Amino acid sequence: MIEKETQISVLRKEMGSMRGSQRALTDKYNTLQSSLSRTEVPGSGPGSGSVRSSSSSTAVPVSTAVVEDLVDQIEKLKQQIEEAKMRAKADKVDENVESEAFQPAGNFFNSRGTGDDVPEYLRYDGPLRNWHLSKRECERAVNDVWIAKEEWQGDQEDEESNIHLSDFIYIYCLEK
Amino acid sequence: MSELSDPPLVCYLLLTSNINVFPSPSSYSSFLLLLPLRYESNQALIAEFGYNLIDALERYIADSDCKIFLKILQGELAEEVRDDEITMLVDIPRVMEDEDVSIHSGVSSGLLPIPIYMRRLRRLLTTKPESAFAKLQKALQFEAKKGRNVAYGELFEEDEDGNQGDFCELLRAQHLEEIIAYDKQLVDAIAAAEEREGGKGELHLSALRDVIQSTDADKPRAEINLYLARGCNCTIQEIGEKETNNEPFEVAEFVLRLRDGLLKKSEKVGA
Repeated sequence: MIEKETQISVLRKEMGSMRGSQRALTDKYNTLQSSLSRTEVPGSGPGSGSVRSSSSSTAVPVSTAVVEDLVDQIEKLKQQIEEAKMRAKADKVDENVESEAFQPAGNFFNSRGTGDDVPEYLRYDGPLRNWHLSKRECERAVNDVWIAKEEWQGDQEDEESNIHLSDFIYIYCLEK
Repeated sequence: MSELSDPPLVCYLLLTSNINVFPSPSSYSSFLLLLPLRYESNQALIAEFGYNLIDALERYIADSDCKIFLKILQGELAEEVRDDEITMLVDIPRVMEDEDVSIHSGVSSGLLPIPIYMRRLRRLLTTKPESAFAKLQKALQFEAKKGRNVAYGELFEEDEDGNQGDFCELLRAQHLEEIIAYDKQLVDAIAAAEEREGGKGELHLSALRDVIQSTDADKPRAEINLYLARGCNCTIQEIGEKETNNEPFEVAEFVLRLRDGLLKKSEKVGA
């Protein structure tokens, strides 16, 4: 019994050392395989000259040169984006400094230009001062415009006397 | 010197508003002399007045005067809406005075009990919902300062800032809201009818008549004819012919012309 037990323990030890050498040989084989694929010219054959994903044997093989080319392109794009960002920032700062039309918000109105779609009494290019009219002044202006419109329409004898308020404000301001 | 006694409003606003066109003009005449220096053209001054007016109207839109002016200015409402409001503000005190005279043996006292005032108001404004009358009654009780009678003449008077009392402001706000709501209801109903007819952008006169009647069951035929004549840009006499011929009308143009006048629910006949 003792002899048999001794034989079993010897066999176990041998089996363990054989497993260890198997693992070492597998690792060595993998290392050699990958170094071999790196040194080979791309496109020389199916499977050769390509990098396989270590995690999955079903992954699509990609050429090393293609990967390096892509990495280069990504770096270039990153650089271009950074440059564009810097340029945009610089333009914005310059615009504020150089433009004479830059005014602090609240004290000026940005006019709508002189296009045909803008009512005549609002046509202007450039900033216009904000008078900060009070409610009393606003109501006085409203009443004054209504009275002036009624008077103006009363003075006209033709049919064109029925003028829209938006058009009349221009006439009102001109007459004032 | 006559110019000084009647200063142009634009100049007045420049002088009195919180602006620094010039460093404190010592007199009004020096201000007028300096005015052209600031404004290189009439257009600059006109535009500045225009932008300031619109800005102020938008800020004070809660006030009926400002709201109605802005809506008419921007083409959202016809000027007839203001005329209708003025008619209402003239009619109500006149009717109340008649009521006052009738219940006080032919003598005007200037006062009316709140229940009588409200009863007469209900007979006058037949399209107004009961919820609106409830709000008006509260405003009236507030104006009467817990008294039983209301001085109906004073309800429509303005203070020196051009503001009216709560009752009058509420009445005007309700009038405007009702007109805007009916305008939207009618335009939406016309669009829906056009969609039902195949969405070709056209509707027959009879269909337009039905739509107007459906949005306001109390609207008399004569008033519907007026709406149709306005929308079709023809006389009332021509409406009959066009309806007989079953002529189609372009909906977009019809709506545009229709909205160029007052759109309002009709008061109930015999109310």
